Amino acid sequence: MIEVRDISKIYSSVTVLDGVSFRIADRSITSFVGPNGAGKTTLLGIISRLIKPDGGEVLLDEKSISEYGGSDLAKRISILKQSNFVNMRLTVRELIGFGRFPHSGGRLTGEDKDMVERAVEYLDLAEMAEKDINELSGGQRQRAFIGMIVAQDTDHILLDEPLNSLDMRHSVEMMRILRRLTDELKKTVVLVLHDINFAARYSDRMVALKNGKVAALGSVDEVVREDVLASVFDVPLEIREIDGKKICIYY
Amino acid sequence: MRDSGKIAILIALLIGLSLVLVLPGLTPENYEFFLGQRLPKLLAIIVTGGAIGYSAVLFQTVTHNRILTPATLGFDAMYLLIQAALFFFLGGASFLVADRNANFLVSVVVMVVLALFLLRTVFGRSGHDLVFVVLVGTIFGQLFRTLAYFLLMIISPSEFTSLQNKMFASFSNINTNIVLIAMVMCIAAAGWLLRDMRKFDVAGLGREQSVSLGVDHDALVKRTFIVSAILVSAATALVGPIAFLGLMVANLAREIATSYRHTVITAISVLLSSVMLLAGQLAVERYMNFGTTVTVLINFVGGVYFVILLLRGNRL
Repeated sequence: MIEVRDISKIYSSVTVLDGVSFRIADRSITSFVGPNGAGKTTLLGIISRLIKPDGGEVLLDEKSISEYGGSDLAKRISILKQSNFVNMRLTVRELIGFGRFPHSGGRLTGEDKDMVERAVEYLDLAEMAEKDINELSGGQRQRAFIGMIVAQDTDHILLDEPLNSLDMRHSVEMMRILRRLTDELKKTVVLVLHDINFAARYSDRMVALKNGKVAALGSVDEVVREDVLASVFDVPLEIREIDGKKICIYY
Repeated sequence: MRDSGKIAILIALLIGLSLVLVLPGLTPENYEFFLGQRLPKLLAIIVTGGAIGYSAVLFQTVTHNRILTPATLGFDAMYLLIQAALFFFLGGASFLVADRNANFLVSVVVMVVLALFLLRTVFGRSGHDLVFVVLVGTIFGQLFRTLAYFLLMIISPSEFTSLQNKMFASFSNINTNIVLIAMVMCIAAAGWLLRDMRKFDVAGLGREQSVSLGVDHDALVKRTFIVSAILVSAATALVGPIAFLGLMVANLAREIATSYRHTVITAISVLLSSVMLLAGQLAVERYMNFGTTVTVLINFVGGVYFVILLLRGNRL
C-alpha cells in the first residue's frame, strides 16, 4: 500500500504542495482531481519518485520509497507520463519488451517473452505488434505504452493525464482498460484526470486537491457533491443522477 | 541488410582506407621512416573519429534530441579556451604547456569538471528545455572560442597566427605526440559506458519512462557528460574542433541501423565517423593537393546534412 505522509514541494518560493497526507487503497482506482496548478501532477511525480519532495515522504508497504533500490521499486510502481514521444525506431513488441527491463535487465528470458506476449494479447495489440510505434495513432500508441506497463507487472500503476489528447472513443477505451487492470489483474491504479465525469464514472476513490492541499477525499459519492466540487473548482455546478451514476454539469 | 553486414562493410572500408593512406610509396628502404610518420597520424584520425562518433550518439540519447552534440554545446571550444588559459597564465615554457602529455591530462581533468558544472547549471535549471540549452551552448561556444583567441592575441599580437597554429591542433598539424595516451584514455572512457548500453536503450524512452523502469537516469546523464568531456578533449587535442561531424554521423547511424540497440548504433557511428575522416583525409591529400582541410570539408558536408535534417522537418 502507498501512503503519502506530509508531502511538501516548493518551487522557487511558490508552495505547490503543502503538507499532503493520505493513503491509497490497494486494488482500486484513485483519481486526483482539482483545478490547474493544484499540484496534482507534482504529487503524482513525487509518488513515482520522478520528483523529490522538499518535505515528507512516500511509503510503500511502510517503507520509504527512497530506501528501495531502483529496479526493486520498478517492480512495484510504474508510471506513464502524458508525452510519449520516442526518438527511436521501435516496434510495439520491442516497446512492450522494455517493460521487462527491471526484471531481466534488457536480456529477455523465456518467461519475459511469455509476459510480453500476454501483454500484447491483453491489450489486443497482436495486429500491430510489428509496427513502428511512431506510425501509430495517439490512442494506439497510448495502448502500446499501457502494454509495456502490463508487461512490467507492477502492482501499482500511476498515470499522468492519460486522457489528454485522446478523443471520446479512445478515452472511454482507456478508462475501460484501466478498470479491467484493477478488476481482473488486481492492480492499484492512480491517475490525474481533468474530466470530473470520467473520474466519477470510473474511479473507486477520489482525491481533490486545491492550492497544494487536500480539499476532499474519499469514495466517489463523498467527493462528487455540489458543495465540495464547487469550492474545489470555484465554479457553480450542478450534479444530476442519471441511471444511478452521478454526472456533473458545469458548462 | 542485417546490421552485422553493415558493420562488416564499415570495418572493411576502414581497413581499406587505412591501407590506401599508409601503403603508397613504401619500399624496403624507406618504410621505417614513412610508417613512423604515417601510422601515428592514421591512429590519431581513427581515434578522433571514434571519440566523436561515440560521444555524439550517447549524448543525444540522454538529452533526448537529435541536434545536440557535445560540439553544439561548445565542449570543443571549451578545450581551446583551457589551452589558451594555461598558456596565458603559466607561460609557454611551463611544464603544463610544454609537455604535451601533461598538458593533455590536465586539460582533460579541467574539461570534466567544467562539463559537470555545465550539467548542473544549464541542464539542472532549465529542466532540459532544448532550445534554451542549444542557445546557451551556441553562445558559450562562441564566447569560449573568442576568449581563447583573445588570450593568445594578448600574449603576442604579432605572432598570433603562428601561436594559434602551434597551440591548436588541426588536420595539417595533427598532435601525434599524445596519440597513445589519448587512445588509451578514449578506450578506457568508452569502455566504462559499455556496461550501460542497455540502459541507454531504455533512456531513449525519456527520463520519466527510464526512471519508471528502474534506470537511474540522472546518474547515466552524469556519466555520459564525463565520458563526452574526455572524448571531446582527446579529439580536439588531436586534430582540433570539427563542429558538424558528431551531428552528422550520429544521425546517419540512427538511420542506417535497423535495430534500436545502442550497441549497434554506437558501433556504426564510431566506424562511420572514422571512415568519413579517413575519406576526407584521402580526398584532401590526393585529389585536392591540400587545397583545403579535412575540417572544412567535413563541416561543409555536415552543414549541408544539418540543413537537410531541418528542412525534412525531422523531429529534433
